[in-house]
Amino acid sequence: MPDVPDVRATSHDRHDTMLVAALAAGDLAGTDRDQAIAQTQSCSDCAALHADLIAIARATATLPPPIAASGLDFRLSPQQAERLRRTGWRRFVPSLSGRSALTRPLGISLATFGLIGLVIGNLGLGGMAASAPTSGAGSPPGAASLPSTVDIQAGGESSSDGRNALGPIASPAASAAAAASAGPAASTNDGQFLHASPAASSGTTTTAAGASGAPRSLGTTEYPVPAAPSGGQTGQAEGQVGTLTVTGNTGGPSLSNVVFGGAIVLGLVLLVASRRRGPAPG
Amino acid sequence: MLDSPRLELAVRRGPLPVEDLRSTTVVDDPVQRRDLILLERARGGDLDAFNDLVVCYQDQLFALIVRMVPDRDQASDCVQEAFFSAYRNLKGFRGGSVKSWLNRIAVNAAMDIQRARKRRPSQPYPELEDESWQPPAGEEADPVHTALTIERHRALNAALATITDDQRAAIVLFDVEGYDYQEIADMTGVSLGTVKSRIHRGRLALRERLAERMELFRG
Repeated sequence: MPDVPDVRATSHDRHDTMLVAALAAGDLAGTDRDQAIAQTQSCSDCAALHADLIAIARATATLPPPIAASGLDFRLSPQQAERLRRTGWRRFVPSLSGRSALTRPLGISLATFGLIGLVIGNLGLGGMAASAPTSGAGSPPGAASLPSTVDIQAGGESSSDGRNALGPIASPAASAAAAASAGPAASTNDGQFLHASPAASSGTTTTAAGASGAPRSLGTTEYPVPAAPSGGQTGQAEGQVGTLTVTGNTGGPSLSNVVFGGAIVLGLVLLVASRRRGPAPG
Repeated sequence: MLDSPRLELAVRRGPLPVEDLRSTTVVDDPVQRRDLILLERARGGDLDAFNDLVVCYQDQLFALIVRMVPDRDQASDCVQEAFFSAYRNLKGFRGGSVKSWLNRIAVNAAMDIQRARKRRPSQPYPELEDESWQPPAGEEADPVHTALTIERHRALNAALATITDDQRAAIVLFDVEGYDYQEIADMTGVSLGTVKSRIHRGRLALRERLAERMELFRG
């Protein structure tokens, strides 16, 4: 710009160069355009800028292809295609990762939240189970969180009505806390209640010995129960016949456990996704 | 020949037609029709069809991306990742131009590379110009004109390498590749006003960097 007078410099500094750039790009209309045209007509620097910007845009548009990709082959091999053709949850990992910088912190937060929630929730339940009073006919605390509860009803002479209800006890899948609470309940009964805590924790059948091969009922389904060994376990009364009745599945894992477990899983998936993250898809 | 960047530059400007792949509309453009057929076969699990698309567009994508990232290796990685991503997301194609779809994926890959580069700075941009390239012979093929053209391109490439990533991407997509504002906004995920602003500011920045050499561009 050798022909630009210096005396204009101070006034040009106050001019809106973006307006001139927009005019050069043809993006202005109406009063903005009129103002920009007036500016370029009254200021030689603005006029020179306008001309230069147009020249630069024209030169940029004629830039040659920079470097040919000769020798580069981006075709996918069958192995790559197979790897990219994920199934199941793996398909969602890349989309979960996205381009967000929040993926990793979010994953960590979710996993931590879920873990803490699970720990606090289960410790709370365990504490309740351990501290709650037990009784032979009562439900053990925490039973609501068990996968299922089973009523053991034992028939026999020792029963006042022929059906001594033990109350719900833990299924073989019961937690140790529930088993611990069921144990004392059985031991406080004087032989009428045939269930003992080992049955809950070890999965052995709670039996009324002496009725070898006698069918038992599980809910409405009767099934054979193996004969109890002679002189069975402590607390078992020979000659008694018991019935095993499923009183209902009380709902499986609690909602809070599901939520916290889900948070852990989602958090881990996000963490994995953030580690796998490459350039994101469009 | 139909894939020639110069031809594309000449015929493109203005919004590209958008066709729904699932519609029964007949696509007039033979290139577009070929792309849609290949894409449909690729969606059906035909890897060869997808690789045909790769062959059709790998040079063009590489030429686009190599202007946006510092070196050929990163450009190569971007393009490869773009094709991986395209293959993973074949079912995500919603019709329209396959080329625009691939470009959008590649530009996003390049943007990601740029962001990663900011976190881990690497070597500055190398010379982008291809010394083997020569302007097409014609009535302007005199040695002085050729030398001026080469020098102008060299200066412009050097200046382009020094402006911000966003401005460079916008200018390359608009001026070099010939996309319109809306297409660039869609590709880069910013507003139309932001695209305009980046282009305007980018040109102003180029002019500032080329101030000493503007005589190459005048006349």
